[in-house]
Amino acid sequence: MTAVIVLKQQSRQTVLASLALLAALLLLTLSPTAGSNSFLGNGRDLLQELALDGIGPLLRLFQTPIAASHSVYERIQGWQRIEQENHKLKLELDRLRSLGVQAEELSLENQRLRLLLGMRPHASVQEVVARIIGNSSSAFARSFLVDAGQEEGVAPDATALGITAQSGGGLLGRVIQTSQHTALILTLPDFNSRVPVLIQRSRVRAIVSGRNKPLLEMEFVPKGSDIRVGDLVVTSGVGGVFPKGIPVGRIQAIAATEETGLFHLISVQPVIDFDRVEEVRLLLQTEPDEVPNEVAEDQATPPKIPAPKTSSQKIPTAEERRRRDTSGQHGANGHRTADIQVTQR
Amino acid sequence: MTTLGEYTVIASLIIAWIPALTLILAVGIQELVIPLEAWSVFRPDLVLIGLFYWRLYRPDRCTIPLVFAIGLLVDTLSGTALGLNAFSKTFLLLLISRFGRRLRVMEFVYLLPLILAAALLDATLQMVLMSLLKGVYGRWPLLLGRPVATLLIAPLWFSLLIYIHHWWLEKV
Repeated sequence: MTAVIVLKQQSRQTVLASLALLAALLLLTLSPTAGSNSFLGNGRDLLQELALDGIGPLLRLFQTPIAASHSVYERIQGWQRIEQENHKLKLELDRLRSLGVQAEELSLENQRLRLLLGMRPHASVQEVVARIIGNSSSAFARSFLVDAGQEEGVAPDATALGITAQSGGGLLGRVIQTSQHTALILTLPDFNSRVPVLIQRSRVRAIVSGRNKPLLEMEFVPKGSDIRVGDLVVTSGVGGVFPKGIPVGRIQAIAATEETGLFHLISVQPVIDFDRVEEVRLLLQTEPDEVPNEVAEDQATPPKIPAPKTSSQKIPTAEERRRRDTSGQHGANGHRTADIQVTQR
Repeated sequence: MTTLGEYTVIASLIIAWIPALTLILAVGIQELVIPLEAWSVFRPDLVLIGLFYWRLYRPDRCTIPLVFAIGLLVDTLSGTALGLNAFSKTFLLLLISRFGRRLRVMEFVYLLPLILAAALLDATLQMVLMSLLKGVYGRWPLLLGRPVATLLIAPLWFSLLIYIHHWWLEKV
């Protein structure tokens, strides 16, 4: 009986196996290539979709730790990459730092050389570089004596620009007296100095005056004007004495109290360090016919420089200058009056 | 008590499908989990190891229709010609069934060469079928990679199946 059952089971299995093998061969023979549009192809795609859907949750269970380990591995790789990148960036930063220092040095050198040799704000304005040979700074006057005079074309009211490596170029003052080979410059901090200026950012016009102090004072700026600490103050060109756009200083403090009336009380830090300046650039006037036509056309607002005074003036002695400064009858006082008149106009 | 009885029924129903589940798991791992960028010729045939084990020790749970279906699943997921693995795995199942009684008494170590032989036979069958029916010819050196990988992974997979067999299928 048992043998019969075993035989039946074996024959059943043999039949099943034969059927399975035949079915497999049939499928192999008829099965199309993947993606082909036929009945078996569509059936295969459907079966594949069902298999993936069915096996998905089971696989996800096993894939989670594998994915987590992959994530950890990738994170460790990321750290290594970041470390390498950090090292690379540090090297790059070191290189850029050295380049920055070089660039700064070159910039300063270029600035100094341009100022000394080649810088010409306007084609129509010639300039003379002079060395300061005397400094008459006292409680009542701040003036420099330079080694360039009438022989070099320097005339009264010529604009003097200071040259320092630290601050570059900026307005130093103006020539008030000349001799054959020397000229006297009234500097900005001098009590008699008045310069028409404007604030570069807001274009508010004003007058910068000296107080015999390191800081300058800005006058005639109405309360409510658009001014800020740090604004650059440049010459306005009004009056024709100073060319437009020369840096004068930066606003350091602004006060508006009842005592100041309708105006602000503004302190300006000069661009030029008057204690360290050694050379000056003197802007000389040029005859109109000396200016080439094409250059004259290119100039939008050429600075109007007054005609040179040909009268030979001797350099005043210290006693004369002190007398003149205190009396206010001659020289600087006269220029100050002219500036104020122009400004008011 | 009733609750425990319900749990027992449910557990016995699930446990009956454990061999099938391990085979499905083997298909999933060998066809989907192992990265595609891995050298495909060294991808082990975990299904072959599984059906070898279950057909030897629990033939009642590793039937011909199940192996045929698993073979079709492999074909479907791997993208090979439909019926290729179904045929080769069913054929191997017949061979294992034929010599199963003798093999069951052997030590596991002695079964390893037989697993290698089964894997080689599987590869040969597939190559012959593909060349005869589809005109696709394989290269022997490449066909040898999979049996070798199967042989190397067999102890680990066998151990896992033994653990599942004893602790889940028999004791629960």
